[in-house]
Amino acid sequence: MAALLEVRGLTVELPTAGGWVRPVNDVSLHIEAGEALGLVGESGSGKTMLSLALMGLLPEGARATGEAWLGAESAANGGAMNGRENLLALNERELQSVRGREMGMVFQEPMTSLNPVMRIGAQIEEAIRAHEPSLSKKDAAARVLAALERAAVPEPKVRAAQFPHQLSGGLRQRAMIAMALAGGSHYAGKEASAGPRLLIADEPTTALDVTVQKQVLELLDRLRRELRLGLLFITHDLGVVAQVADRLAVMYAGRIIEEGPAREVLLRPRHPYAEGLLEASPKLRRSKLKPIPGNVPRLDALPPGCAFEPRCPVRRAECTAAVPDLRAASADHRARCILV
Amino acid sequence: MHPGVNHMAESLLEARNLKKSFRSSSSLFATAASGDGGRIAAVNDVSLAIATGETLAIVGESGCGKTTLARLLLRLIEPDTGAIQFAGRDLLSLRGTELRSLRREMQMIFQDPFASLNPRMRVGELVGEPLAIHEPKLSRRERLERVAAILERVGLGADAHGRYAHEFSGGQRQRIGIGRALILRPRLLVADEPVSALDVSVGAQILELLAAVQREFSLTCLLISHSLPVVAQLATRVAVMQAGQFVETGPAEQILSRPAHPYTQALLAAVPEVPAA
Repeated sequence: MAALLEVRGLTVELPTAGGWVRPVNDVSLHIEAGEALGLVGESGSGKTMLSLALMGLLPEGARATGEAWLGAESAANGGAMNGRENLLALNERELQSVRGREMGMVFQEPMTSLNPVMRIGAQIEEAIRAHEPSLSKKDAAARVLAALERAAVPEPKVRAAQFPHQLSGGLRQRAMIAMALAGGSHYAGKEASAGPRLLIADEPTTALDVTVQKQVLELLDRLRRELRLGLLFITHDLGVVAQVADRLAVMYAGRIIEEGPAREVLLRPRHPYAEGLLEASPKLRRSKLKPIPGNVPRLDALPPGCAFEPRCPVRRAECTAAVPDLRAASADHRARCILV
Repeated sequence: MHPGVNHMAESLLEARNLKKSFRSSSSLFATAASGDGGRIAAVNDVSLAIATGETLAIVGESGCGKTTLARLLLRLIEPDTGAIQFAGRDLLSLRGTELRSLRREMQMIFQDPFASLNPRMRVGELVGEPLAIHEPKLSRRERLERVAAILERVGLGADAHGRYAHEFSGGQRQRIGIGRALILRPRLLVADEPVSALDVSVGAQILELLAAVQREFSLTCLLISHSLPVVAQLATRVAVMQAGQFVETGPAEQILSRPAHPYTQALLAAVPEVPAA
């Protein structure tokens, strides 16, 4: 069976004064239905630009090449794929029909994605009506409440009538998740049968306090299981991604440099950058932190060969010769390093 | 014995029963009716003592009052009630030159090194400015030497001197902020979320730098943070703050491994950790 999302050779190019740069460089990845892929990287790694390309929200002037196949899994025919679309080949009108119906999005700061002068319920209703304009008022209201309940928003009726600023940060993010998953679902009693199959969450808990973050992570995990969502979880935080991801892909300077089962990558990283990132992360038990020396290279001044070579503690002369391929470290664990 | 007050060692900074309340924005219209002025206590009866050479971390979630407390301790804002002693002197009664000369002993670094540095000043001026204010009698040459020495210490090259802050990455800007704070050789360094705006690999560099300069400069530190893992790297003592009050204080190892208060336990349990081998 084909993956829910299959990205092949995705490259994003941006024009700069000094020519084109590639914030995303030949990225391939896949997500199965019900699977959570954690996409990890520091600022400038390209992780957010990758998600924007998938959603068709790249900045003006950017160009994306490659393929990103989203398979719409339909409950009606027993979970079989009823057609796959290449997100990168869709025009704006087609993208609008896919966004919110087959693919939902949650961002870091819900306050900037929510309309501040519109009640929460009305915003969710708008997301639903975008795909089902003929829905009756009564059915729409029921769907709004069902969406809020699904995201474990307490007192959904009260919350639906409130404005975004009246909600705490955690509740706002729950409302965003409710909205992201509300569109295109065919309301059938208590069963939330269809609706988006892929949820892209870009740093969804970064602005939240840890106790609230924990609740939102648990909510995303539960929704993923219940709705068999494919989850693309984008974060800079290895601790957070360890809570939600089945598999990890680590990005550096636009490329995936390591991918594999989450536990394996976190316990036995094979790329020196992934290893360095783990050793630089503060833990609850005080330990000698090992910072990675230097800074992330600028995209318009990438070193020849491996982009991490200038900062790498185990670099060799050969590392500057060419960009290493992703090499198999085990059956499903790969790293872009010549030492693997 | 008051919670949060460590009577064992000589304290550099000591605060007793600090209170600070702000008018609640949502109760502007309820003020007349309720009669209590609709005020919210951001810091509600907090006492603490920071012993010379230690690092006290105040940890808590957003809105707990930790940043207000730090601002009170530096007397950037005035408390409603309470007392503060710095190096044995009554901080709240000082005025004018006396206050200024004490202020140079306490410096601060901020979360956002992008917002806290004047974009029109070159790095040399940014770092040298506190010297120009507090040691105006220094010759230009002496000042330049002090600036060059501190820039080198915080890991910025000599070429940094003539460049603007915006030309630097977040981590380098935080180094500029640390240099600016250290050039007066203060006794107390207050660090408010010093790494939360930085990438992990860069944040580790800054934490390491802070630990090193604390030793070299014999600094006493007050760390304000929402992150228990960050606190674990630097703190000798920890005060956990919730709703304007300390709910638990103690040695860092004890708070982080054997927390007594349910709120501390909940905070620790919520920290997302990478699985251990």
